[in-house]
Amino acid sequence: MKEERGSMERWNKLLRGEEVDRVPVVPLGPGYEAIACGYENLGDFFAKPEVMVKCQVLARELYGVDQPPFLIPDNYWGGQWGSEVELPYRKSMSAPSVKKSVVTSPEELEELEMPDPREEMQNLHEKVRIAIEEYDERPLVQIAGGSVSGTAPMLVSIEDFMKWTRTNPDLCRKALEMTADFAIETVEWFVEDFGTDNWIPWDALPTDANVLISAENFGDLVVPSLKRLHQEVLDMGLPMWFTHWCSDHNKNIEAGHIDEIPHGERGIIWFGPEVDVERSVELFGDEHIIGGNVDPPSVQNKSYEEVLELSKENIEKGKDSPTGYFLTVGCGIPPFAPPMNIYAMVKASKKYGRY
Amino acid sequence: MSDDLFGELTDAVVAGDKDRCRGLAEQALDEGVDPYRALMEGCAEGMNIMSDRYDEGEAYVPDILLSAEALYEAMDVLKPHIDVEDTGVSGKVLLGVVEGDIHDIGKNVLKSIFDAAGFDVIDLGRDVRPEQFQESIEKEKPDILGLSALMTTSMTGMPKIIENLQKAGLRERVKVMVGGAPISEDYAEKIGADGYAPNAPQAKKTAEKLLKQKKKEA
Repeated sequence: MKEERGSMERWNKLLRGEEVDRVPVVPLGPGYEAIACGYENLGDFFAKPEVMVKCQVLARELYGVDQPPFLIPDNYWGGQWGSEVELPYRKSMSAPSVKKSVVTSPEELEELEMPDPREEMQNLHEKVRIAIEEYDERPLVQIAGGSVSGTAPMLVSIEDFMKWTRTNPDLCRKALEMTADFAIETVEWFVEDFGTDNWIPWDALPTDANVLISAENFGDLVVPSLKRLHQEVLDMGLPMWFTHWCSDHNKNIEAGHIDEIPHGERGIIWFGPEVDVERSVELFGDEHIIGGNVDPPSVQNKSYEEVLELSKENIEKGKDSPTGYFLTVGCGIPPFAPPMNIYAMVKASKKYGRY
Repeated sequence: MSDDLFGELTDAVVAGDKDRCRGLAEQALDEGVDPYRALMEGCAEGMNIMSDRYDEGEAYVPDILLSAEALYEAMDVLKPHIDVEDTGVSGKVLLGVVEGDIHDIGKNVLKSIFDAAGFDVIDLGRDVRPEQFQESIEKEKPDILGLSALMTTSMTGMPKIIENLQKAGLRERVKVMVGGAPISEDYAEKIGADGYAPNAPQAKKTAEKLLKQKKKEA
C-alpha cells in the first residue's frame, strides 16, 4: 500500500479484515488535534461541530495517522438530562465536565423524564452530519448509556450511584435503563438520517472498572442494561461496537462479563494499560480487532525515544492478533502531548509494524 | 464493657451502618466512655479494616464510601466531646483535586482514611486553583499538602503548584504528596514532590512517613 498522508485506506482495510501494509496508528484523543490546529484550549473543539471534525481531519494529515473523526457531544451525555456541564474553555480541562448531576435523590430520579434526542442531541447529530456529508468520513460516534460511565455523573453523582449499589440497587438499575433507553433512541434517529454503514458507535467504560466496583456489581447491575444497548444497536444494523474498556477491567474479564457484552461480529476491543495487550489478544483477538494501549502519561511526559520503545513493545505484542490490531494509547493521546511523541508512534509502526 | 462497645463500633463502620454507628456513639457518651478512645479504638479501627480490604481488592469504592459515612456519623456525635489536647493529632493535611479536574472520588476515599487515622484534614474539594492551595497553606499551615489528579491535562498543574510554593517561600514549610491514576513515582520525583502513593491506603503510609521526616527536620 502506498504511503499516503491522511488516508483512511489502512483503517478501512483493518475494519474489513483485509491485509494492511503496516499497523494502523489511531491516536484517539480527542483534543490534541485542536492544539495542533492552534486552539489554546478545547472549548471550541467540543462546542462547535465544524471545529471538531475539521481539526481531526487536518491533524490526521499532519501526523500521518489513520484515525477517523472521533465524535463526542458538547453536552457530554449529561446536559440533555439537565445536569450542569462545563465546556473545556480552561486550559487545564481535557473534556467537558459534569459539574452538577441533575439527580440528587431517589425521588428526583423517579420524577425524571427522558428527553427527546432530536431536541437535545443536535450538536452530536451535526458533528456526524458534517463528518459524513461534508468530509466523506466514517466517524466513530460516542453513544453512552447503560453503563456506570454513561450514567454517573451524567444523571446522578458517582458518589450517590456508588452508595446506591449497596443501599438501593434498584435505583441504579432504573438509572442505567434510562440512559440505555436514551442512547437507543439517539441511535435510532442517527440510523434514520445516516444509515448504518457510515458510522461506528463507540463507548468508554472508565467508572465501570474494578478499581471502583466489583465484578459482581458489574455483572449484576451493569451487564443487563449495557448488553441490551449493545444488542439493540447491532440489531438496527450497525456492524460493530468500538468499546474502550478503560482502566482496570481484569476482574470483569475473569468473571466473563466482557464476553457477555456484544461487540458485533468483528468488534473493536480496547483496554487500558492495566490489561496487557498480550492478554487481550489471547482472550479476544480471535473474534475482535484489538486496540493497543501505550500508557498515556508516558506519551505526555517521556521522551521521543522512550515512546518509540513503548510503541515497539506494544506493536510486538499486538501485531499478529488474528482479527487485527492498531496502535494507540491506553486512554487516548493527552491533548498537550508533544507532537514528536505522536510521531514516535507513527515511526514505530513504520519501523516495527510492517506485515 | 468499653471493649465490647469498641468492637461493635468497629463492626458498624465495617458494615457501613450509619444509624447503628450514631446509636453506639451516643451509647458510649451515655456510659461515660472516653469519646476519643471510642473514635480511635472503635470507629477508626473499622476504617482501617476497610482500608486494608480495599488495598487487597476485597472491598470496593461503594463499601468504603458507606463505611466513611458511618464513621462521620459517629464523629459528629463524639467529636464535640473530645478534648483537643487528648487527641494527639499526628499532623495536619491539606487535600485537594487540582484545577480542571472534577474527579474527586479518590480524594474523598483518602480523606475518610486520613480522618480515621487521626489526621486533622482540611479538604479544599475539587477543581482547586493553584492560588487557593497557596492561600490555604499560608492560612492553615499544614504539615502535608496532598494533590490529586485523574486527567493527564490536570496533572500538569501539580508542578505549577509546587513552583508557586517555592516562589512564595512556602515550600520548606510543607511536605507535598501526589496521587491519582496518571501519576507515578517517577513523575512525583520529577516534579519535586516529597511523596507518592498509588492508592488511598498506601497514601496513609506515605503521609505517616512524611510526617516523621518533617518532625526530624524540625
